Amino acid sequence: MFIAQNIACQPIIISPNDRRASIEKENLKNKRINRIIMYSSDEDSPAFSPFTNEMLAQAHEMDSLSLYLTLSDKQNVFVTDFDLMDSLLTDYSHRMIEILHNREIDLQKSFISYKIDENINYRSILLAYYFYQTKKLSKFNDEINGSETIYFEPQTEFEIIKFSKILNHTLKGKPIKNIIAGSGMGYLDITCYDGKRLEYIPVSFLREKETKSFWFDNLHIDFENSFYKNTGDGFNSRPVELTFIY
Amino acid sequence: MNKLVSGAIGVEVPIAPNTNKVYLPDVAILRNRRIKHIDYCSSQSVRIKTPSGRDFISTHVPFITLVEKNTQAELIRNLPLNLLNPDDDRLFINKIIDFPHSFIDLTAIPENDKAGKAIYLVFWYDEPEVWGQIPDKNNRTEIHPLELKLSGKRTYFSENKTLLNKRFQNIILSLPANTPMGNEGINEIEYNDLFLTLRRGNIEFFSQIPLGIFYQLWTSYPLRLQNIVFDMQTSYIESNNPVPVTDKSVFFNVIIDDNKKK
Repeated sequence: MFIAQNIACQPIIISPNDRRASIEKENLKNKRINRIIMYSSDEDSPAFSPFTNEMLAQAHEMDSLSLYLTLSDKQNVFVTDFDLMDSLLTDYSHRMIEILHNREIDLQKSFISYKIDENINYRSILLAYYFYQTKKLSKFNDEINGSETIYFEPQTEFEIIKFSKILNHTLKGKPIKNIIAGSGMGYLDITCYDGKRLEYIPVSFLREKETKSFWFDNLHIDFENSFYKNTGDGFNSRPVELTFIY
Repeated sequence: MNKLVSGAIGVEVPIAPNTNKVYLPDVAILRNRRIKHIDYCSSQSVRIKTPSGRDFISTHVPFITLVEKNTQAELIRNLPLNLLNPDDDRLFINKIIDFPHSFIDLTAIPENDKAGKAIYLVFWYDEPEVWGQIPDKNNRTEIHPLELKLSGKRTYFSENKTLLNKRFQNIILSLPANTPMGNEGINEIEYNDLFLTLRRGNIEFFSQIPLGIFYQLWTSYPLRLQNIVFDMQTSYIESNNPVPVTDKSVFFNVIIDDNKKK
C-alpha cells in the first residue's frame, strides 16, 4: 500500500529540437522522492495541462517517443534509462509498474531523455508527478472513521473552485486519508496546515480503487488555499463527485 | 502479492490423441523444490506457441491436481487452470510437488482441441542455497537497462559489466519503439515467439520462460526475485518461430539490490 505525503507536478516539454528534459522543481531539493508517475491524454479522453490549459500529449504519441528516466543521488546514478511507459497513466489506463525510489535525488544530474520521431515537428507536453516525503509518515490505519461525499458542477472551462465553497465543514480538522473520485476530469490542488502540498493531482488518479491506487498521509487540508481546477471540454462539465475519507 | 522466488521453469505437457488425463513430467530441477506459484500460459494470457511449436488448448479449461510429495495427498484437487493466469494475483501454492503423480484432467476438452496440442506451465520455485536476503523495509534498489539485439533462433546476452555479480530483484520487459542505444525494439506481437533462459553456472534458474511473463504492465503485482545472480553470457533468448525476428532489440529494465551501500 503506497502512502502519498507530498506531490509535485512538473510539465515536461517534448521538443523536436531537444533530446532531454530536466527535472526542475525547486521544492524537490533535499527531499526524499518515493515514486515518479507520468500523466498524459488518452485518444478518447483528452487531458489538459493545469498550468497552461494546453492539451497533453496522447498516449499513442508517447509510444513513438521512447522516454527514459535517469536518476542520480549524491553518490551515483541509481536509475539508468528506465522506460517511462511503465509509469504512464492516463484517464483510462491505470496500468503501471510500481517502482519505489525512496531517495534524495540530485536534480542537476537527473533527467528524462527521449528520442522523437523525425516526422513529428510539434512540441508535446506531459506531466511528471513526483511523490516525496518531508517528514516521517504518520502512523497509518486503513480503517474508515467517516466519510463525506460532495457533488458540484463547474460552470466554466478551467474554472477554479475553492474547497471552502464546496466542502462540508464537518470535514474540518479531520485527517483525510483517501479521496475517491466518482466523476470529474480536473485537478485537485491541496495545501495542508502542516506544510504538506499536493500539487494538481489529476482526478483520474483517484477514480478507481485498485491494487495500484494510493492513500494519503493524514491530510489536514486548508480549505481556503486548496481548490479544484476544472479542465477540458463540454464532456468534462458534468458534475464532479468526490468522496473524502478520514 | 507475488512471493519471493529463486527461479522459474517452463514445462511443456504434450497431449496425445484420445487422452483425458495427462501426468506432469518429472523435471529434475524441480524435484524437492518448493513451488511458490504456477502460471498457466494459455492463448488468452501469454499468446504464444510452446517452445516446441505446439498450439495451446483454446476452448475449455483443464483442471490440475497436485500431489504433495511428503504426504502423497492430493492437496490441490481439480483446480481450474485459468485460476493460474499470470496476469492475476498469483495463488501461493507453497508445496513440494510429486510431479509424476500430479496430473491434468482433460475430460472437458473436445478431442479436436487437444490432439497434437500442449499445456504450458511455468513453475516458480525456491532455492534456499542461492537466495539473498531482502530487507522488509526501505529496500534500496537500482534500475539498469539490459538490451539484447536478436540475431537468430538463439541469441546470447553479451558481457554486461554493470550487471556483473549484481543481485536481481526483477526483470521488466519494455516495448519501446527505440531503445536507448538507438535500436528498434520488438513489438507486442514479436515477443510472443520468444523465451528467456537465465543461467548461473550449470543451472538454468529460469528456463524457457515466455517473454510475455516479464511484461508486467498488465499484472496485478510485480515479480519478486530473491536477489539472484546470473551469468549473462551463458543466458539467452530463443525463438520458436521458423523465421525468427532479427536485428530488433529486446529491452528490459532490471531492478537490482543496492542495500550494501546503505
